[in-house]
Parts: sequence; C-alpha cells; structure tokens
Amino acid sequence: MSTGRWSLRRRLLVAIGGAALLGWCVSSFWLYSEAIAETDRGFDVALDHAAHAVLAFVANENRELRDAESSKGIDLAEIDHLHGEPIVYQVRGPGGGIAYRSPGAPAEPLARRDDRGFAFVRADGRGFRVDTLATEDGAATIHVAQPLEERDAVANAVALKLLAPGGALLAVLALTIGWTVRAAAEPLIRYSRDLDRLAPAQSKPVDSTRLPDELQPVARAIDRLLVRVRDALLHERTLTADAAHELRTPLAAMRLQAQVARRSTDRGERDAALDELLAGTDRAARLVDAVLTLARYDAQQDPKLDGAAVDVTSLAHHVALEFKTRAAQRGLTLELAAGADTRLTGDQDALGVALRNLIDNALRFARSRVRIETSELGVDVHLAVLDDGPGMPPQVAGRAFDRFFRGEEQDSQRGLGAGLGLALVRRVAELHRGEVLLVDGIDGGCGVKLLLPATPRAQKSKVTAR
Amino acid sequence: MRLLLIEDDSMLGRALLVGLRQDGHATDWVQTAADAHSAWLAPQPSIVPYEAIVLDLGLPDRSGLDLLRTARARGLRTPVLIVTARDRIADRVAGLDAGADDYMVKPIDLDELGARLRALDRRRGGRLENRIVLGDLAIDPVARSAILAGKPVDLTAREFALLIALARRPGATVSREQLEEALYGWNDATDSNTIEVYIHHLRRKLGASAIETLRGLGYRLAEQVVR
Repeated sequence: MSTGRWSLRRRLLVAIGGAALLGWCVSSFWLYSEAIAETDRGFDVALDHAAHAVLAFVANENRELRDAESSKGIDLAEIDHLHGEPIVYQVRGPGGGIAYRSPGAPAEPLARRDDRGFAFVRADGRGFRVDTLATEDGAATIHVAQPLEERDAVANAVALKLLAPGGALLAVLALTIGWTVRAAAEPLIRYSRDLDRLAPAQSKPVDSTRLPDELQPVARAIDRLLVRVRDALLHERTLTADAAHELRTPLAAMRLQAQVARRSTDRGERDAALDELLAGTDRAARLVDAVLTLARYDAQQDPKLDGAAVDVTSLAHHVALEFKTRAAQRGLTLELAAGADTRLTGDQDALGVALRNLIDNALRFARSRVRIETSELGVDVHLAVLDDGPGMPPQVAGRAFDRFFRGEEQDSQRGLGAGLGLALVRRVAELHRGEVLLVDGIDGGCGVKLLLPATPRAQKSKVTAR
Repeated sequence: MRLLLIEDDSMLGRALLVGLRQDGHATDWVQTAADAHSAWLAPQPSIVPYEAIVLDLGLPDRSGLDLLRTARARGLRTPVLIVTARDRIADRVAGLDAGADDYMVKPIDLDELGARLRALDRRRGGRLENRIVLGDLAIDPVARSAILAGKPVDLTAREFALLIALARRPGATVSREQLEEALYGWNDATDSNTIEVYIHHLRRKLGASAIETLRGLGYRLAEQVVR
C-alpha cells in the first residue's frame, strides 16, 4: 500500500484506537475519581476507628493527663498500628496545650479544638487528613491524622491497576485491527494481482468470490469494464484483420499486374496491365481511407450529446452539390425532396460521410435518377437516398451492412467499393442513437433510410414503419 | 496447357488470366463455384478437357475446397493448383489432403506459378524434364524456344503455342478443337482457317513430315522429327 496516502489499516487504527483511547480516558477518569472517593471513605472510616481507639485510650489516661499536661507524656505506640496505616496524633489537654504527640506528628495543633470531625489540613509542609474528637467530659481533645501522601500512594496504586488493563486492551485492539485489516486486504491484494496479470482480451471474469461483500459492486463494475474493453479490442482486432485481409487481394493483384506489364512484349497488353495496376492502387487507397474513417467513428463511444445543431436538409443540399458533376456525367438526375424542421443534434462531419457514401452507392446503381429525401416525423429526422436501379437482391440485403461485404461483385461500370460504405453509414447512425433501414427505392430500385433522433437522448425504442 | 482459372476477385482474375496466357496457356476463367462446376465437373461434351485447374478457395457461392472434394469424388484426375490467401499450415494441409496437387499462397509470382504448372504437367506426362525431345527437334517450354538439329527455329508466340499443344503428348492425335483451344484467348479471332494457316507455317519451318494430318480427326506430331 502506498505510503503517501493513509492506508485503510492506519485509518482504522487511528479511528478505532482513538475512539477506544478517548473512551478509556473518560471511563478511567470517572473510575479514578470514584476510586479516590471510595478510598477516601475507606480511609476515613479506618481513621475514625483509629481515632476512637486513641480516644478510648486517652480517656483511661485522663487523670494522668490532667497532671501531666506538658510533662512526661504517655506512650501510645501500640495503637500506632491499629489499622495498619501509619498515623500520627496529638492529644490536647483541657487547657488546649498539646499533652502528647506521637512520633512524626507536627508540633503545632493540627486543627482547632472545636472543629470536630474530618478536615484536610497542611502542617510542616505536608498534607494531612485529620479527625478531631473529644472525650465525653471535654477534658481532652485528640487530632488523629494521616499523611496525605500515604493516601495518595494507595489511590495512585488503585488508579494504576485501572490503567494497566486499559493499556493492554488498547494493544490487543491495535493487533486485532491490524490483523483484521490485513486479512481483509489480502483477497484485495490478490484480486489486484490477478487484474495485473490479466491479458488485454481476457474472456473470463476475474475471480472476486473472496472479496468482501462491500467490494463486490466494485468487482462487478470492473468485470463490466473488462467486457467493454474486450469487446472494443476484439472489434478493433477484427477490423484490423479484415482490413489487412482485404488489402491482400488488391496488393496481390497489383503485384501480378506489374509482373504482367514487365513480361509483356505487346504494347497494348502492357498498357492494359498498367491501367489495372493504377486501378488497383486506387482500390487499395479507397479501402485504407474507408478503414481509417470507420476506425475513427468506431473509436467514438457516444454520440456527440453536446454536438451542434445540424440541419439535415441543408447538409443534404451541400453534399448533393458535390455530386452534381458526377451525376451529370453519367446522365443521372440528382434531386432533393426537402422536408421542414429537419434539425438534429449531432456530428455534421459524420453525417456528411454517411450521406456521401449513400449517394455514391446510389449513383453507381441508378438507371436515371437518385433522390435524396429529408423529413421530420415525431422525434426523428428521416434522411433517405433512393435510386431507380435494379434494387438489392434479397440474399444481399441481409448482409448489406456487414463490413467488407460487397454485393454486386465487380462490375466495372459501377466501380468497386471497399465493402465498408454501408457499414460506415450504420456506424454513424449508431453514433446518433439512430437506425438505418433498407427501403424500396424508385421503380423497384434500392433505398437506404436513416432514422435519427432529433436529440440523441431520445431513445430509439419505438415502432419504425418501413 | 489448357487451364481453368477459378478466381472470384476480378482484378486478380484478370491479372492471372493475362499472366497465364503470356505463358502460352489456353486459359478459361470463371468467378463462381457454379460456373466452375459446369465448366469442369459437368462440361459440355464439345468442351476440350482441362489439363490443370488453378483454384482460389474463397469463392462467393461455395468453398473451393468443397468443389475440389466433389471433383475428386467424381473421379476427376485433373491436376489442381490451389492459389489462396489462406496461409496457415492447417489450411495448406487441408487443401492438399482434399486432393490438390500443389498449393500457393497469395501474393504469388507469375514465374513461380508457371514453373509449378510445368511441374504438374511433367508429373502428369511422367517426364523428367520440361524439354520435349522428338528426334532432332527439342522444344523448351521455359525458354519458349524450339531447336531443330542444333539450330534455333524462329517461331511466333502463336506458332509455339500450337507446337506445344501438339508436342505435349507425342504420337497422340490432337483434335482441331483442342488446337483452337490452345490459341484461345489470343486477340485475333480463330476463324476456321487459322489452324490450317499455323500448321502450314510450322510445316514450313520444321519440315513437311513433322506434322501429319488425319482427316476428320486432327493432327499428329511425329515422334521422331528429322531434319
């Protein structure tokens, strides 16, 4: 996976880990506060117990205390460990003076005598939790205190115990995420490797059964893409192969004619061979032109939705002018029956190519005239080229639009097409989401009609009457 | 040789036709399997049989291979040379196995085609070399020349075509129709006297005894032409 981008694994780690960390922090803080409060209460109860023990002891010693308020003191060392935690205490006599203090207890009173109960205080630069009690007769007051650092140490230990499993949980989480993502990514890596190995014209889809459900739509989209690419490729290969095959024949013929011309001793024979050679060159050149044009329109996948508005009638008018001389030379009339409102959105050049091919064909077969018709019918613009020639034989009609199919084979009077004209016309119709049909021409002749949607978006799912 | 050229492409067909005639072969040309069928497999009785077939496989109405198989199934032994654009080994094997005697892939060379046709003809006649020797007369179909007793004979293309037609099967009688077929395709029309005119020229150049007239049957070239 690329390092510059955030990998899925890192994303998941950061997102899930971050969320887990945040949750853990919040819950830890709450638990920590609870733990501190709980330990505080526990400590306080224990401190109170200790304080009452000290108080009971002090009450027994009361009399002595009265006398010895500031003299010898009493040894209460044995109660120091009553509740297992180190505590200090001060015993104050009826006068308020400190009659006794345990070792380590501050010299100054820890609290005021009448502040009974618990309090936090600072003395000698340390913090203490103090419990202040007095004997029943009020003669003596005691301050039993616990250094806060003791309590903090315990509280911290508790907090640490809370932190430790959280940290372990995070580590486990990170490992799990890493492993899961790796396991999830593995089929993806394999899939991409399979894609890399794919031959351009692969016929079977790439195995995507191991991909996670979430990626199945992507895999299917890739499969569809592969099919489209393969089709386009095969199409192109077929065209290339067909074109090469079609070129072989004129080239072979040209070679033979050149040889015939060279071997010929008769001038007429040589000239005839050279004429054939020239005709062959023209044939090959026409074929190459047609293949290139077809390849160009094949490469266009979609009609030009953003294409300019084309007025089919005016286009037909212009193209017909180009053919005027040729028609006249053959004694043919070329007429245009124009309809109104024949605008459509499309590719003017492509439509011109299609129309030229149709007129070219019609002029070859017509006996006396060729008619171009344009009209508008509903969402379609119709463009038809009709001739009054012999018409198309039924066995030819079925294959008329096939590439490299030539109907009337080699009639010198009609000239020789490359067999791509009508294929080209059909492709142009397809580009405009339109249709092309064979229709009856004039007096039993042949006609070709293009049905082109005025806007390519309009679908062609409609009944087309012939 | 009298040849049938079966080639659907008109441009290629025209070129082959002229090339084969340049080599002195009396060649008929058809463009469909149907025409080939009626010319080769079911000919009119009057038609002189072909001595070799030049066959293109990609015919519009029927496969050339199919036509060839039909011909062989009917027992026709005419040597067949396939000329096609199909260059895969499998195609060549299929072509030869279907009964073809030779196989050429387009684009072809006219000289090579001529040589292969001569080879077919040699095999058919059981000869070792192209040259036909009849006594003092040696005919070389490659150089298109004849030598009589060591001296070249000056022959026109038509005279040579006629001589070859007579010499291919020495001692055999060649009918007038066959000789006319041999000259078929030359620009001049063969009227009823043309053959006699050329025979006359040949006799003048080769000696009167070289060609014998068999009234009502045809002509025969002597097996030993002597100066």
